[in-house]
Amino acid sequence: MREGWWRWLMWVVVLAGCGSEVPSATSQASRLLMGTLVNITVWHDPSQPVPAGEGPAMQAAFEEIARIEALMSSQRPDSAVSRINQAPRNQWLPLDGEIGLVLDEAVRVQERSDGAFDPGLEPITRLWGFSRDPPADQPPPTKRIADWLASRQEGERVRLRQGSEGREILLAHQGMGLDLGGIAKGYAVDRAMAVLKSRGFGHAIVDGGGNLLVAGSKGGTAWRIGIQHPRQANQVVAATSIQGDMAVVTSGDYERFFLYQGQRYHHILDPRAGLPSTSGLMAVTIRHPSAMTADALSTAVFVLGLEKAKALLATEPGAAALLLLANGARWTTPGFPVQWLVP
Amino acid sequence: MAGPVNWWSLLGRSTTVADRWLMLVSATGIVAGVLWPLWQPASHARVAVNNQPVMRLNLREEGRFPVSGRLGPVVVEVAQGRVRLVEYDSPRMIGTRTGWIRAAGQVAACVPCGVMIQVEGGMEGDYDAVSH
Repeated sequence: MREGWWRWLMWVVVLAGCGSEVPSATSQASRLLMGTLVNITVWHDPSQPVPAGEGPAMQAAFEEIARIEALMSSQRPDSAVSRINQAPRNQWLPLDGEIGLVLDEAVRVQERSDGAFDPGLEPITRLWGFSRDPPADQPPPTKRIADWLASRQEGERVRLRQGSEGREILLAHQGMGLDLGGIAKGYAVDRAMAVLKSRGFGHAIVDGGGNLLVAGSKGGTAWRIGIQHPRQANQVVAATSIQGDMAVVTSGDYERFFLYQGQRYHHILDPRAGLPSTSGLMAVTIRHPSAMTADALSTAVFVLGLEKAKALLATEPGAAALLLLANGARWTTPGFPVQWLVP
Repeated sequence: MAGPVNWWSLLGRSTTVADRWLMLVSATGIVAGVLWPLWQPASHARVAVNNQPVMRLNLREEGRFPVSGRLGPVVVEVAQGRVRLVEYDSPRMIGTRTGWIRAAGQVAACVPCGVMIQVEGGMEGDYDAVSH
């Protein structure tokens, strides 16, 4: 027994050990789309070769996001949304069915939030210029903001209807214009994940500039998601684990902003004032099965502030929220599992 | 009636000293084989402009590499196994907040100028994604 198979076995093990490598269980690809960085991460069984369809599936998911950008961007003059914005006001216009779907959800959140979220703010968001290249670095003249406010009536909405040949939209006056920046990224993330799943990749993360949709797991282990610190770049303030399908979307005053004469001006505008929201929040993170809904809710909650947000969240059974207040306080709904990483 | 098997005794009887050395070496080889790739820093980064690859950089070769962004020149710097976007030709330095990156899968991007660098390899780090 001292000879023979023991030695052969040992040499086989030695050679196998020296030759082994730990294959990465995830593949990642990135693109600049929708004015932000989009990352797609796909998990695969590390004991198997990387699936041949993985790269093409990720590419198809990016192409789906690019398609939605071409349709819904108000920054691109050739998009369907821009064509609506360029058309005369106070007349019914044909509406692309997919934009109608997104607007249905936008108007629903607008009504639930008492106007804190509004997809019709393009004239004032253009005036502030946070999405310009390069972005604005000082606020617009006060008079122009006042003129915009005067053009609007309280409670007015983008109007939608079912016409004889499809959906239609009406923008009442020049103070209204479509800007789906607060919801279209979430929709695009939902669609990209649907593309991945349709091709058999159900364990993945689609990250549209921090708007995440998570699906499945890493071989039975939950995905670990960090939540950005609102004042410390590259630092995470909290972590949450997700196994299964769930979106995690954050709106904060730190992503697009400028400092002017000592004051911070950020891109989340209060539709009722035409100014950056001063609700006392620095960041809002929403968990919801739909990234589109989470995207809109995160903006609405940010604008509403803590107390009014509680009432909104109570009417959204699928949503859980984490709020970081400007005074350093934190608040979460009971359904938001979180591990705080900063005292 | 046979008692419980004494595996150490069995091992001693069925192997020589050389065999046991061989087993020790093999165990070390397995552990090293598993951990070695994790210890290795990423070696290359890809640079893309408008989502098209324009450059592949060896992170062991230090230098400053200008690329032509949508809004002007951008410099990509490699030093000490790390890479970063140094500057976008604007006083506001848009897009350079990420700083140095070195871990596989990390990305730094200047969105307005359409320049992106990504360290090659699967995702590493404490989080699978960060919501911001």
